[in-house]
Amino acid sequence: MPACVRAGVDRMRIAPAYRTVLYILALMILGVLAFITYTDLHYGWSQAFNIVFIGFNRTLWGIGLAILVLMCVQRYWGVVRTALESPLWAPFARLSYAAYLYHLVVLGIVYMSQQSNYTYQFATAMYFFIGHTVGAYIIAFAHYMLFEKPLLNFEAMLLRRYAPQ
Amino acid sequence: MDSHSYDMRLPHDSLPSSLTELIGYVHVVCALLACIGSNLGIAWDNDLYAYPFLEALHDPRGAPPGGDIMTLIYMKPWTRAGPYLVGFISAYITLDHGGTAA
Repeated sequence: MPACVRAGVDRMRIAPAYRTVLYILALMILGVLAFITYTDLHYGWSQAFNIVFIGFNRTLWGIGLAILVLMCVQRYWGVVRTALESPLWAPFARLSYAAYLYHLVVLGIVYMSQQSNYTYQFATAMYFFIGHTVGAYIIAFAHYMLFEKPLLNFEAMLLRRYAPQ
Repeated sequence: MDSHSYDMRLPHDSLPSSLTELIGYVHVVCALLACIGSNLGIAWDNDLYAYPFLEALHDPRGAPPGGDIMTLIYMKPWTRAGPYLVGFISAYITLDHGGTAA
């Protein structure tokens, strides 16, 4: 759970049936939005569906994530909450913003230095995906150690020095 | 790290809190509707495809017609504000139940 959000003492009371409905709803929203592009790739979408998708996809994704976060903040959904609270995520969470910024650089370096076209196929795309992810995180780690953490330390020193007594 | 924790609810002496909450919700829901409406309207007006590269695979003529989703949708704040505003509502719900944000 993000350290910045705390549920209050008056925890939201939600009946188990409604919690199940919300769980399935959030899972369906996130799952459908994650995998629906398969139908675009293989069958194509009508113009009407393209407009509906553009109109709602980002907001719907936000609603799915909001349900998930709200339920976890209210200390429901034990399995999901325990998985997301795991300290294993902490290093990746610290690097995620830098990895987000640098993954475009990695993509640009890899794709713009291609000497020839390559055939798009599942295994190749999968290996590119893994490579881009690892590459972005390696650069993000260097960025974190060289710039982000030293500046955070500096900021902490400054804030301690000038903290209101 | 968590020693500084603030109750983010603003004090309102002049208005009842139920009214200020309602005003907040109405503002955010109106902004959400404006965001979805602008997405729908821009997509409708310019015959946009959500994924032009995927559509091009089906189109025997190659790239399909339609406007540039990158400049018209992807780079504009009013088409991207939806999840941000949903976050507002999540925060209202958390704070309504005595939650705190630091």
